[in-house]
Amino acid sequence: MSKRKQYEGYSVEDFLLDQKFVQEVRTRSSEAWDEFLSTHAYCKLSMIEAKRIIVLFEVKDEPPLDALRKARLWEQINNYNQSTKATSRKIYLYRSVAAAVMLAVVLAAGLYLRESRNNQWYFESTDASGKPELAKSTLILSDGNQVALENKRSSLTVLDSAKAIRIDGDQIVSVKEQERKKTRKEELNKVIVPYGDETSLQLADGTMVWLNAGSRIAFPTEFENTRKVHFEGEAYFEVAKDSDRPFIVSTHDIDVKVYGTKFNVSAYRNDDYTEAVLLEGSISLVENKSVFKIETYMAPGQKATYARKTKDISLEKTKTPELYTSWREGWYQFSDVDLTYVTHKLERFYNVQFEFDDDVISNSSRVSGKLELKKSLDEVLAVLAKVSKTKYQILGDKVILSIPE
Amino acid sequence: MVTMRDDLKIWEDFQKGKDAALSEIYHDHIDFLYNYGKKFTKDENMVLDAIHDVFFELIKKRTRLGVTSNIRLYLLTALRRKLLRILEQNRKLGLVDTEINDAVPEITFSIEEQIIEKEETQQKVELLKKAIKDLNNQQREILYYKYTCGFDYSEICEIMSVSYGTARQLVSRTIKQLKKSLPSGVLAFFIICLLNKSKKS
Repeated sequence: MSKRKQYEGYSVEDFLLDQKFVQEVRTRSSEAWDEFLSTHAYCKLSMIEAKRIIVLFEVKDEPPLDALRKARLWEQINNYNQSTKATSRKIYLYRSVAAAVMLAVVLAAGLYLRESRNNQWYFESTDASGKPELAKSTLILSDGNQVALENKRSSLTVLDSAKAIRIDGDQIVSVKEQERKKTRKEELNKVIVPYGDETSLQLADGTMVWLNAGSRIAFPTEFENTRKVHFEGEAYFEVAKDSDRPFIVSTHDIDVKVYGTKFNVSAYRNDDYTEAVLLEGSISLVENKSVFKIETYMAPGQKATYARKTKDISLEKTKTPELYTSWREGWYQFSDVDLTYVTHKLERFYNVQFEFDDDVISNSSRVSGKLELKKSLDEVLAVLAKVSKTKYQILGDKVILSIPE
Repeated sequence: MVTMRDDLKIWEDFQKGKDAALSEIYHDHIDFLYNYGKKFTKDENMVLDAIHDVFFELIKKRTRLGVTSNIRLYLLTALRRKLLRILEQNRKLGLVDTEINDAVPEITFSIEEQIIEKEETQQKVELLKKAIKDLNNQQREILYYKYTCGFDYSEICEIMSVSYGTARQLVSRTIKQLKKSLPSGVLAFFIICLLNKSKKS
């Protein structure tokens, strides 16, 4: 049968009996359906009639599962999965720690020299582009030991009482408290997540942090009088309630002060803004380099944007704050943003680099819509190119955007 | 199905203990499973607990599971079994309204809630709505698998744990019942199509 006229002579009934056709009807988007119709124009009417009948048996979907509950359930399942494999992996950990020690000592020394200068941003020493240079997500302990995380999506838990950190429900790394008094106060553990990875972290006070690609966080094994973490990149926080000790997320430009709450922070150094979206509770923002520590308070559902150029914090109401945490589910939703906003996010997620001239930006359309990050880079770019009216070309880990002729 | 080879591969990877495969299985099917589970009960927590148990058992029995070329069907069958057991237990404990005596999904076809603008079409649709409404839950369930999910008889047998003969009989009885309550015209034609379809498959 020739591919072009595969439905030659089909009646409506034949279409209904054709399992493949029924699948087509059910899975195609309306655009794809129109295309499908036009490629089979010779039997268009029968097709339309058949579709009408199949559609009768569509079922109303329930409201979708809350993103947070979906993530929690996955966390439980994944932890259980890891725990069933505990024995075989412990030996591996022991070796990888031993191998990593030398490297970590050098790194820690470098950090020490730079951090001793006063009033500097915690992560100042790293490459200015803000791109974490490690190939794998890595946990760097306060004593300098370095542990590579084997999964693309790992979850870490700080075990406060045992002074230890658990990785993916099985490997346990103890955090030594020796020389505690001798060293500087800020002896923190760090988690570094390179482009292409994600990690979740439960802190000593029960606070949950989901770290997006290209992020880093520094945190103590145990919180004392204050709860403060240093952070760069994008993360979603669920902060444990503790009215006596506000939780502080210190980013490059602003400190976010938290009073038991759920919120998303995006503070990449290669973006010219820092963004916080509050889902529940209350937080305030303080520009950390300014002399007058003015706190800007946020209400649930609000989005705050700090523009690095103007040093201004602006507040706006967002009807769908949960869209800002959708990266945890593997998709992004954009509404009227410019092309670079999207390409920066894709660079981190797929670990690629975009290249284009300024006139590509000025000639492209602003972008609205949803991008599925589970799809391949090629598929995602095809959608983006269509929406923004640009042309793309993938060369290794570079993506070249241009204006179509 | 298009996804068949992929499913075989993903399943094999999962059995070998590859983490990415489990993640893929969860994220590809969770929305479907949740949506399906909600047809058994309004209780969101009960559905999530059941899904939780299905996955835990999957992981526990990982190496002893058979092959499958249709992961969605496999999960759906397991979830259905689990939910029916929970509902049965709750009923024994007297936790459930007595009016729900059939522990099968309560499926609402969209046509039953659709607002049709053309008056002429509307009349026909009203009749069809009524006919569908008169079906019992088991009949709705089987139509749902057959036409909404597009499963074939062998798959339906697996899900509902009935014999091939029973499944076919149930479909053809359902279609007959629908036919009886509907007038001639387009809708009768539609029923004939369904009848033929069920005879041939």
